[in-house]
Amino acid sequence: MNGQIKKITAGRAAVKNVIHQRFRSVVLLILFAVTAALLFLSSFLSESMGEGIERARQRLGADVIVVPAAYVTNVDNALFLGKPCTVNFERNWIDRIAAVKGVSKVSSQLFLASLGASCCDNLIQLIAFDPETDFSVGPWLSEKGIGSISDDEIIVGRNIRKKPGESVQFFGRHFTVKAVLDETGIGYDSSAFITYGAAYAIAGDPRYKNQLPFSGNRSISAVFVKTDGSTASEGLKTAVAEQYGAAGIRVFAGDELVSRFADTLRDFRIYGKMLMFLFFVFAGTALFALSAVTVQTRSREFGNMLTAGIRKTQIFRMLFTETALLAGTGSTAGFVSITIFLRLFDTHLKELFAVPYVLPDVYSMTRIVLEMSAAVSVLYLISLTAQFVRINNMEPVSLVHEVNG
Amino acid sequence: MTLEAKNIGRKYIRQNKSFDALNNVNLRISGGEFVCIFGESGSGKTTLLNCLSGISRPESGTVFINDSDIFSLREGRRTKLRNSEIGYVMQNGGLLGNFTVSENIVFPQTINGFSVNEERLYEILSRLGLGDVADSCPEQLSGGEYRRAELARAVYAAPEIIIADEPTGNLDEDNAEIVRNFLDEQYRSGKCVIVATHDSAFVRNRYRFYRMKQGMLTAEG
Repeated sequence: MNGQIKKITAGRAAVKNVIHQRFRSVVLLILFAVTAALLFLSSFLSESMGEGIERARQRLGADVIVVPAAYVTNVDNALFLGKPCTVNFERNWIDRIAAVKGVSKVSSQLFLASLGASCCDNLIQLIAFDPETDFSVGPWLSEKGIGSISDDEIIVGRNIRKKPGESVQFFGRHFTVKAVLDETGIGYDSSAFITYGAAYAIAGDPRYKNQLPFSGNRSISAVFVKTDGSTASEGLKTAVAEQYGAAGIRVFAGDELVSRFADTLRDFRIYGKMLMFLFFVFAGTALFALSAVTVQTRSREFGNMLTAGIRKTQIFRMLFTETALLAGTGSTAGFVSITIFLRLFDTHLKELFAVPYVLPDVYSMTRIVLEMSAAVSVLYLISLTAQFVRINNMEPVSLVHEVNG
Repeated sequence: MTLEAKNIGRKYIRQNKSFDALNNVNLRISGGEFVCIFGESGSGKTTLLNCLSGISRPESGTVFINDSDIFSLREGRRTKLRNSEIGYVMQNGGLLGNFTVSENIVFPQTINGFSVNEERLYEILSRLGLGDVADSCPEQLSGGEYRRAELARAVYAAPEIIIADEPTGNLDEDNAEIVRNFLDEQYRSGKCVIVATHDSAFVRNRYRFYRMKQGMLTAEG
């Protein structure tokens, strides 16, 4: 006998069983891991999109947006998905829209797709804006105590990995990063904001004449409108469309642009929940069957335990620990692997779903993890119930196949 | 300690025909007695031992330990009796495959909160010639070692009643002799030993012998 014999409790016996019954343990681990991973992924994506859309709604700030009809898709992609574009719109539309009844404030932005930049692998959306009048970035700058920016300064989105004070070059011009915008979940995260003065200087540079088809300093890309409070967004949209619809513009209520994504999210949630429900039923059934079969194949072992004076409650406690070990390890593995997956493929997922997307905050993450744990616990209880029912209904002798001598 | 079966009966159905595995069996054994039950296969010996150990409930009659009806106890209490008062070596039992021999022997006690009694464990292992295989897994044991390990587990808690079903079945003579001598020691130390066997080598002075036939038990001497 080598050394001291360790006292074997139900917990230690459970660990031994888990280690020795490798195939069964691995199958159960995988089942718990996949269930937890899918539950977590589905909830996480749904939450990220929901948060992204809400942030987009808040960040956009405009009640009505007017864009040239030929560039609707480009502006839409630039605003929400960060796909760079260059849009040319006559500046005089600012005054024309401002004159419509019900308009309180107007602002504009100018979109320029960058050429290759020193900072980034991909093209970047440059947006010229007026800090004094802008609804989207202006209020944020005020909140941060940044009154205005000069022509050689730039505000960068979260995805442009630059820090305040660092330098970045666009169209051969050096800009100093003044601030990094808080995560928005929309195209602004991959955009950089400059003054109209800087944008027009770039546009006037003969080297970029072919890339930037602007007409001097009379170009903008979109007009952002606030109502005066007496008119609803939809009403103002109709009024502008009726007055100028034939002039090659498209008018959107701010919510209308965002609600398109809300519809996508709703579909995603419905299909996601249906899929999860089906998988959950499948996993529950598989686990129940697997547990029942496991107890069946281990019936001789349990019969021997009962014969040796080990009570059913102790056997059940051992199985409880075995299943808890597998459920805990499996769901943790599922959670960790999905977290790594989300970290590695964050950008690809944003592109894949083409919906504003923001990582959930700590509160939401905690809620998701708790929901996931609750769902896994339900499966765990299903598994335990299957085992408990079998064990509770058995007579020791029937388990070891009574043989008449 | 007294073990008593009173009018116990149990029927089985085989090939759509009912037959008596136990037919009104009466038996009373006290501490310091060794009872051997002989009989052909299918005569009811195993069913009787299963009822005496409380792992199978008779359809009529009952079993008493010290005048206490064990089948009136809750199942948990009855199981606990096998943890302390009754050591049962089943004919087709088995050790737990994931544990070593030593662990198998102590597990029924340690899971109930008792510490490992190393002195007792060592004494039993050496008495049954299992010292060299104490750390082996059951699958590494020979048939004789396996059977002795089952016996070791049954007696580790020092139960007053030891029940063994064919304890020398399929063993070579050396192994069988070790088992017979060990059970004899238990009897001599005042334990109540009941053995169902075909092994005529159990015929020794002072043992009580019974024969089982078609579910009925008759005394032979």
